[in-house]
Amino acid sequence: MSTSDFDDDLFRPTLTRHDDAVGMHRPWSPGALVIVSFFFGLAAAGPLLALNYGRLGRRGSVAPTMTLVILLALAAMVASFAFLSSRAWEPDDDERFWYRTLGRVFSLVVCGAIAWHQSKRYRMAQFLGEPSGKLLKPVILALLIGGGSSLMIWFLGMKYLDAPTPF
Amino acid sequence: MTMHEQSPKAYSAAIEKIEHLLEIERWKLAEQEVLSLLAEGTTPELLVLLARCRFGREDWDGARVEAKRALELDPEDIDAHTVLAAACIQLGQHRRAETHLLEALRIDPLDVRALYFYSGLMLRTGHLEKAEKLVRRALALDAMHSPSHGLLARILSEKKKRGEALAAGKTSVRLAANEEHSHANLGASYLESGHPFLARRHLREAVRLDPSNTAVLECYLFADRACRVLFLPFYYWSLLVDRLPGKQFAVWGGFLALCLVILPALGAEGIGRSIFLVYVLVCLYTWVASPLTSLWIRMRPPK
Repeated sequence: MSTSDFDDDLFRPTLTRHDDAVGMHRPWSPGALVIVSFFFGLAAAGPLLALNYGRLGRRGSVAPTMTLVILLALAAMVASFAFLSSRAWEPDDDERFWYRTLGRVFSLVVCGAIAWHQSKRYRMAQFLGEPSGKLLKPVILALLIGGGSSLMIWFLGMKYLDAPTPF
Repeated sequence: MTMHEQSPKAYSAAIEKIEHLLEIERWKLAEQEVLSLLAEGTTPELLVLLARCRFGREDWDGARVEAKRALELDPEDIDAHTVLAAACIQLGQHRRAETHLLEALRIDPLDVRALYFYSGLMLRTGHLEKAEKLVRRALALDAMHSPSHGLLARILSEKKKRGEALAAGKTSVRLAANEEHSHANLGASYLESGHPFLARRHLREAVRLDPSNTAVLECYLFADRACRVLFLPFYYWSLLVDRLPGKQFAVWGGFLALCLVILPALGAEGIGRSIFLVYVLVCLYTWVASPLTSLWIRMRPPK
């Protein structure tokens, strides 16, 4: 080996500003938030994932992600209103089940993608010895806010658009 | 005139003494010695030693400041670049650390310590391919560098090459049987390859050699937890799930597909109910295993 080896790829800079582990403070586990999305949906887990960017030291990503998840949650509701309103009959139990499963898969895909994007920084935080944040209280709060607003929108949809309930 | 210029022999003896103090991790004593030498005159070497003392005491910012001062006196000092990079890594300033490590490697591309630190930085930031290439290059230059073998074990564990990771970890222990890092890395490799009892043995040894290392202590406590009968099935279950693409979601997806699609299609819904029951029991176990083991550990702490 000689100094002529110096100019190979190994000695070129690899890291970008996203690789710096500064400004991290008790991040939540992205994997745990995906599990939250499975049980409580996008409206509850999405905002927590957006806030988690701040805890992972990427405050600039909080607002765009928050906007994205709120828009996607609303879009999913509008799509389901449109679908259910177009039906001439009430969905039976099987249809309701598949409808809920589809909603869960949608939540999982969206939250899974965001969590995958956060996993690298979360790993860095663990290497730095930064402890993980506790999720119980934020999840309860998100459930109350996200779930409550979803129920309100459903209620309005059922009242004014005559959509049947999927629950 | 500095001591270095006045009496080179006495200066060398003093440096040797400081190096020894650093080796046995007497950071404060080493720092006092360095400060007394610095009172007679400043050299880049002394500033680097001071930075190493501060680094040993986990004063990352102090280490960074002293290494920077050393670089102001000698911008080509590889040790100063390396210590500065190590401090930056601890402060999470990974890009700055990379800049200094690349500078050190520009000065001397064959510097094993710089290659080792750069590989560690790549491991931290998730660039595993580059981390492996760098540490293998370090080992090609010095096959007896035990920290590099240990680091290779960690990288290979991350890459799920568990057999190779164990081999590298064992080489590290063979080369430096009295070093905490060797036992810690081998223990971690054992833990990730499904040998919790061997892992506990090596991690206990690592804790004995360096009781102040909290990361190793945490790893030992986890290994001890994995060895408890109540937690053992959960540990193996976690290892199994960890190997699946998609991890726990693969289990959920498989379970849902089996119960909702495959078994109804085969007309075996009775079996589906049994599988559902087993699955619920497994879920219940995974939820209670950890708190119950914690309770057990509180009653019978690890030796």
